[in-house]
Parts: sequence; structure tokens; C-alpha cells
Amino acid sequence: MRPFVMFLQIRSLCTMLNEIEEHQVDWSSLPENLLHLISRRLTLLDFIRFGAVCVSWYQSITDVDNYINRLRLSKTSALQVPWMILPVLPHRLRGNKDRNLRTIFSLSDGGKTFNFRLPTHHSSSRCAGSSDGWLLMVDELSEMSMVNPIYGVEIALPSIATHPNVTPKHDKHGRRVESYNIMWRAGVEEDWPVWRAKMMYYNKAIFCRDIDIVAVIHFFGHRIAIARAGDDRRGRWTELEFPSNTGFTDLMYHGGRLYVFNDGDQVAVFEDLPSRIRRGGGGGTDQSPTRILGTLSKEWDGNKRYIVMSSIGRLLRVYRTWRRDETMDFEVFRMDGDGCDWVQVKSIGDCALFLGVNHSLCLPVEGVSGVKRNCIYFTDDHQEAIFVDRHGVRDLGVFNIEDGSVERYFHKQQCLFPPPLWFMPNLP
Amino acid sequence: MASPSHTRTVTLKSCDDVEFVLDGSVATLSQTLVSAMAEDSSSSDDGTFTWCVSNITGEVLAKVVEFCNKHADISSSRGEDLKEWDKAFISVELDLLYDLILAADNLNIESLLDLTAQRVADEIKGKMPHEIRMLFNIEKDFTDEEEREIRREHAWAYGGESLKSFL
Repeated sequence: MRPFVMFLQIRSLCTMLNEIEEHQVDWSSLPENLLHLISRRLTLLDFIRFGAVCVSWYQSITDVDNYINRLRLSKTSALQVPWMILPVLPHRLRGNKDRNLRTIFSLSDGGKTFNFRLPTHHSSSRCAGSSDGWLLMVDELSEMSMVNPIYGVEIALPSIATHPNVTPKHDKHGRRVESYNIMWRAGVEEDWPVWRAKMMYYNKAIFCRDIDIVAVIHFFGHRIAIARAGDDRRGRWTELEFPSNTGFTDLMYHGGRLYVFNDGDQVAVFEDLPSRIRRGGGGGTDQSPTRILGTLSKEWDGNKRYIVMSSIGRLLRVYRTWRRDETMDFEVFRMDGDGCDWVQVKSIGDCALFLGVNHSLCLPVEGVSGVKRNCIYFTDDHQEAIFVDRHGVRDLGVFNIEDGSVERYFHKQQCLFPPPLWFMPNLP
Repeated sequence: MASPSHTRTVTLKSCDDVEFVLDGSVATLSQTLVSAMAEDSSSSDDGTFTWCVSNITGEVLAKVVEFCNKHADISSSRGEDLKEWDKAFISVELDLLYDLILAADNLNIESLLDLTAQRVADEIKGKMPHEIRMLFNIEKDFTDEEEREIRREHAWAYGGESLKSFL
């Protein structure tokens, strides 16, 4: 315990002893279990402000290291829904050329917005994922780090050079990496300049908070790997094996299991990730999926697949279709039984889905102001389109599952770069 | 021995000696009463049970009993109607809310705890610490330096503007 907190505790104990005599209305002396019941019903923003009211309220929030875990314990709606992180809009910059400035827009705090700065060395980084308080940033040398943007904390992840078939090539002085040699298969190689590799090598990354592991779709969408978050650049990525002809489209972590969706419409389930990393160092170990959930019975020719865990623990497959880079439709299928039966649903009840670059989320939103139930809040994760036209109009908005209507965000706004994404805030 | 299922009526006695008679089934909303009835061996065989709540006044206990009667009545405890009823029930002055949340804790009535905690949370939402202090009449017991330190820890939470001015 930090000395400061201890000091405050002792002081408040003295105050309590003085006041114990008579009964009066004193909100600062509410028992801790009641303070927890109250703060559990607050968004992160209100939770932090709650802690700044008085000493005893402050203590009630400092004994909790994980705000989101607290929310999960609560039986009420998850009051915290993701924030949208977006570039500062051009007319708001007022001549400020700070490329690290970002705006946060919070649906659930009454449409509040505020700005924050990314660490300076991430001024040209790309965001390849966001989960549970962390952004997964790919820097200009394609090295990945986790950044908690509101607390300015950063954790480096193993180097891209520890993936198989990726070899860094240095400039003639042997100092700076200029490109990466990618070996597609024996005899077929290609050199990727670092700036192109940054845009395309990593596709999506998630952070599995309770086991401290990062999982990525990499190698231009064709491979999956995991690494321990604490291993920094000295560690190495462990490759998981799941055959796919065309690549992977989404990955999601829930309750100790990693779910990976491939373009062949299969979902692979990987269990026991920590011991896979330990074994990975030894080589020659079985890294195949624990099991594979089959395809849908109907053919589908849309654009992107997502795998989501519903708030009551049922798997959802979500299919997104766009036309001319504009989302037209989503279809949602729910797993029934052991993974062989999938039924299309027109309702996910009092929940909302948040899809895009972020760790796919399904959250109960009953009573959360500013968020509509049975809707899909989507951002633009069309990697090629962003790569080709960074100044184009981005594909983001709200899709109503029941009637199929779409409300678009920033529809006429050009130059939304870097593209907006959903971000679930949390303490570091 | 009086078990919850055998007890026909429960008499609750407030600290200022106001008595309330509850149906046994209503009393089971309170986990405190359930445990007390289960442990009690002295109560009479006629199925009555008396419990003194030393720190709840008659005024507050009346509200608690009103809440329990409503929530135990299965025919009315459904859906939207009950939600509306709860909303009206909990629209009370903050002083009474304070007594109610402590009473709910004392008698361990889960649904009343949820309702009171939610009302307090609703009051806190969207307010700055000094506004919360003013509303709940809480004295700032941080030194200025401590407050600066706490705010520095989470500096992001004290700025911001509304979306209207943003767009």
C-alpha cells in the first residue's frame, strides 16, 4: 500500500472514532460495502470523480485495481460503454499541428469529449487493436506496444523479427531497419519497406487482461500469434496453428479461451494459452486449436466476420457487408447447443455490439443514456481502404439489427485520419 | 424453533418503539431477519417473531416495510409497473435516502440496496467532486496538496466539454 493511502486511512479512522457517538447524516462515513455498491454503478469518469470527493470515498476506490472487473461483478448494466477515439477534427485544431492529439467522445457521459496526447514517439504509429484500457500500437518500424492512452503507460511487446519468415534488413551502415524481408514460402520472397509493413503486417491485436497475454492476427492476415505482455522486446511471439487458405478476420478472448475466425467460416478455439507460450520456446509442440466450431450451413459472400461473446455467455457470429466501402448490412447468428447449430437472430435484447478495430464487445445497455439497444456500433476497420485512401470518408455509424437501418457518423467528414475506433477505458 | 417457513408474522420494533407487523413471507426479503429467525429458539410456538432494530427510526422503518410489502406481493411485482413504483418510492430527500440505504444494509434487503445505491449513483453522475460535496453536504477533508495529488493521478477526468460545442 502506498504511504499516502495509508496516511489517509489512519486519518479517517481517527475521524470515525470521533463521530461514532451520535447518529447523523454523514455521507462520508458510509460503510465501504455501500460505497462499493454505489461506485459500481458509475462510469469510469464518474468513478474517478467519486474518489476525489473525500478521504473515505477515495479509499473505497483505491483498494480496487481493476475498474472493469468491478463492473463485471455487478449485476446491473455495464454502465461503461466504449469511448470513441478520433483525431481532433480539422476545424477544432485552431492551427495546432500536434499530431499526437486525439479526441475522446463518450456516449455514456452525456456526450462528453476531451483531448489527450499519445506519447511523442507514436506520432506516426498505427492502432491495430484496443481492449480493456489498452491500445495496441504499431510504430513506424512495425514494432508493437501496448499504450494506455489516458494514463500514458506503455508496455513493449516482442519484436516483429521474432515471427518466423520475417527478417529485418538494415541500411548500408547497418543501423536502421529499412525493410522487412517476407518469405511467403520457400523460394518466394518479398521486401516490404517499413512504412508499408506498418500499415499491413499486423491486422488485429487484442489484450487478454486476466492472463496478461496479447494475441494478434499478423503476416498480412495469415497467421496468429500470442505473447506475454510483460516480456517486452526481449521475449518472442509464439505462433498458433490454424490452417486457412485466405486468412483470418477476427479474434476474441473470453473466459480463458481465444476464439479465431477464419475466412473459411470456421471458428477455432484455443485453450490454455499460458502453457502454449511456455511450450512455444521449446519448439515442436502442438499449437493446433483445442477444437473447431463448424461453418454456417448457408453460403455468405459479404466482407467481414466477427466473433463476439454475448453478455449472457453465448457466442455470436456477426457478418458485415459493405458496398463501395460503406456498410450496408449486418447479420447476427447465435450459437445454440455445442457449436453445431447457429440461428440467425433479429434481436440481441437490451444489448449493443461494438465492432471494428477494437476487441469485439457485446454489452448490456439498458438504462445507459446515449446508447441504443439492439444496435451495432461500428467503426472502419477496412485495412486496405484506409491504406489506399487515408483521407477518404470513413465507414462508421450505428446499425439497427431489427429494422436494418443505418445512422452514419461523420458521414461527410473527410480527413478522419487516423480512423476512429472504439476503446473501452480502464485503469492501467 | 422458528424457521422462516413456519413464522406467520414478524413484529419489527424501531429504536423509537414503533412496531410494524409483517407477514412472514414479506420478512424473508430481509436476509438479516431470515438468519435471525433460523437461529432463534426462544420464540413462541404461535408462529410470531419479534425483532428490534436498534438504529432505525419508525419513520424510516415505515418506508422499509412499505417497500417489502410491495415487493413481496407477487401479483404486483411484475415488470414496468414495479419499476414505476420503485421510481416514485425512491424520490425522497437525500437525508431520508441516507437512512434508507443504511437500513437496507442493516436488514440486508438486496432489492432495496440496489434501488438506493442506484439513486445515489444517479445523483453523482456527471458532477465534479466539489458539486458532489455540496449536494451531499460533505466536508472536503483532503488538504489542498492531497487534492492536487489525487487530481494529478487522473488528470483526464477533470477536463472536457460537451459534444455540442465539439461538433
